[in-house]
Amino acid sequence: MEEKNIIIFPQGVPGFEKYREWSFVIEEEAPLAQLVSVENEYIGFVLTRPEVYFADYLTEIETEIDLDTQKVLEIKENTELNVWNILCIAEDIIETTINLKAPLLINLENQIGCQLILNQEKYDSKQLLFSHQNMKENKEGVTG
Amino acid sequence: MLVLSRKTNEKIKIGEDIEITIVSVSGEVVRVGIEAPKEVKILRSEVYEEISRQNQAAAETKDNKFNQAAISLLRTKLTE
Repeated sequence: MEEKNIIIFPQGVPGFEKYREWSFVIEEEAPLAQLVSVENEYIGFVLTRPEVYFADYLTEIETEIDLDTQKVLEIKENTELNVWNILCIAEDIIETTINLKAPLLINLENQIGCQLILNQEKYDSKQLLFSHQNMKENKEGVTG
Repeated sequence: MLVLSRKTNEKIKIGEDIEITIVSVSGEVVRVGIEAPKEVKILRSEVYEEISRQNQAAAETKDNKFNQAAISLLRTKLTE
């Protein structure tokens, strides 16, 4: 089961500024989603929900949602924002990184999205996704 | 490009609402203070470029590595 939406990114996405329309498919079984350009189906991102591994992330980025971003997303008092982060999938899956520096904020009520670049230094654009969790596991067990 | 010379603590005004202050100069490092309305997004340019590059690296995987097998492995890993 999945949920599909077309999301407009009025400012584009850094590196892909000219692509404004993205198809957004949220998976139900895993905390994963795919964002694929409507104009060019070969451009796509795999996304995950940050709170799965980084518990405080959502509260910590809240203060960085500036007025401009709020306007772009048309955030109202009761708006529930969807926050997703782009994964860079490595050949060895254990080396997959998550971009915590620039979360995607998506307002599903009006289908508008943007990629927010955080000012705080704490978050990395190439954070290993499995770094905390995998300490107790061995590599073979994960990739095999 | 407009180029201005400024000393420490001198300021530059841009439009009505933005004021730049040269806070200190030490060797090659210039500390700049910026006062601007909340809705103005201020970023170090290289941060935007870094995110662009990172997005391109993430998206490029669709052609070679971003295949169903990788995603399926990731799916398994994330639901463990």
